[in-house]
Amino acid sequence: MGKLSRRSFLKGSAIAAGVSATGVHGLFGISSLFAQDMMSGENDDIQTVINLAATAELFASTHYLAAINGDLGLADVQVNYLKAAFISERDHYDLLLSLGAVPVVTEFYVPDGLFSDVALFSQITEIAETTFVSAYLAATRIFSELGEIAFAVTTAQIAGVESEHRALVRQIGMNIPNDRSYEAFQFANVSGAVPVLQPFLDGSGDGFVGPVAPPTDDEVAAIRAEAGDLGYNSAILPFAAL
Amino acid sequence: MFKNMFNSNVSRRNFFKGSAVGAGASLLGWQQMFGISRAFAQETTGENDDVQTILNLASTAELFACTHYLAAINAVESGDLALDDIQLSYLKTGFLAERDHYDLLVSLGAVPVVTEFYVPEGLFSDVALFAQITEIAETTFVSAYLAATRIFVEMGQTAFAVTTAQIAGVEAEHRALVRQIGMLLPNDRSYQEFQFANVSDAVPVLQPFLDGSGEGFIGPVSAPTDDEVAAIRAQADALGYTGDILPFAAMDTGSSSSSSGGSSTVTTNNVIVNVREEPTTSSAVIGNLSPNTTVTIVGQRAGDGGFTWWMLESGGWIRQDTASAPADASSVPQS
Repeated sequence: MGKLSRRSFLKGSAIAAGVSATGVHGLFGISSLFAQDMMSGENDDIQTVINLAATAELFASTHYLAAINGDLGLADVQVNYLKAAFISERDHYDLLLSLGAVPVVTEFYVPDGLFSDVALFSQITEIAETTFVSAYLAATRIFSELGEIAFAVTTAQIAGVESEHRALVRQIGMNIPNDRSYEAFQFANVSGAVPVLQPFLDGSGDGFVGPVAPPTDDEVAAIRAEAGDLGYNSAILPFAAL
Repeated sequence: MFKNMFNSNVSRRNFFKGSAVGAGASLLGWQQMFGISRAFAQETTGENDDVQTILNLASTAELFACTHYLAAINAVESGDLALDDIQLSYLKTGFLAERDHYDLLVSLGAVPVVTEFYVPEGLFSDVALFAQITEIAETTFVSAYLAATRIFVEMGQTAFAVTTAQIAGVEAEHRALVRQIGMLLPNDRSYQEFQFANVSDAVPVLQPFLDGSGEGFIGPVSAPTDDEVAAIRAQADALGYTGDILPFAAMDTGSSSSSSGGSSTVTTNNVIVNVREEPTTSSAVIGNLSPNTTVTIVGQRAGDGGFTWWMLESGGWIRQDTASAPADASSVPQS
């Protein structure tokens, strides 16, 4: 299991904004996505928003479970952060499915060595969580323009939770966790996040390994069973369900 | 100053007695005290806070947060509040964020309703109490900004809806970190809590910090001076603070409209929009606009229901919640 440098990761991922749109279309059947991006000024449609969000949440669940089961050498209290994050990502996923979302992939890829190198884990997870925050802010923008108040507020609620995760994984990497005055609005559309997440979805990044299957129901149940001991608050509802 | 002022404890029970659960606080008293008579009237009628009320209350909360974090920073540096250097850095970057929010709000015309604050005695010498009280405050801030997001969406003010969501996320980070300081699970939820329909609903929670009405509260404490703000800002780079992330309302997103020479453009929502002779729904309808139509606006006026109305270049008025507007639309002249 080799280690992936930041340079290699960026080559294959976040900064690969010039990544072939055709390739992504072919892989995920989301041919409308890039056409809808900033350049055209059009918004993602709702089904695209929830499908992509569900994909990101399923990836996040898979990622956190692998980290929990990994060889990262984190302190117990830090492992608890990962377990709590897993529960929240799974709750988001379940909410999205209840709204009709269908994830565009159900297996994922990660940089080799991701779950045995704390610095790499922190770095990669921060990129992912920052992307999730931005994607949900894009969803808030879209739902606002559609006049969908309940979903605009709900996506803002979720963006706030992803912001907490972002801060904590930065802390795990020994970086200042609360390093900003505004969560970054990076994408006009949720689909604008696809190039960043692409290597996790198709393994196209340099040094990525997989695929890894998402958590089973038993694995989800096992973590959920710890919620009370963790001090997790499961009573807070999304605005759309209030 | 703070270490002398805040040197004893106040129980959680006392805090709640005077604060969060003091929802029965005299409305009349608040209205007289802070000149926000609209806020509570809107809460009880189901109406939304108007924009000025949102800005004023948010700026008050941000100024309180700055004052609070500066007091905590000073208490750590004087040895009264037993936090380590890393935790101290969280307070400093928390201060910077709150101050940036405050400056943004003031730039938009906000006027804080008070500029001096009160805190439970002993707050800055007892880590558990500090964490507990700060968590309540930050949770309130998150919820208030989510309420603002709801209102701005209803008004069709997408730029501000997204901006308040961006700020809610930052307040959520602060909330998590003060829970961690209090030895609690920081990321303890799947959704940030939507507690208030209106921003003004947060006032009863924050009341004792603003007027000292809570049992065991002491003060007042003045807001940070410019020199104190500058001293913390000077540490931003060393702290690893990112000062270049913009609020959405200040971003040039290449939206379909822009302000120029005192005008801007707005695009009607996916409905037929009435154009009225005057900025009120009781005024005569003199025309209508098709769905998704972009029109030039040359003025604005506060109208009934707390809504801003846009004056069309072609004549007549439309209510702001019938059209999406860029952030710069708010800069068209008052008419």
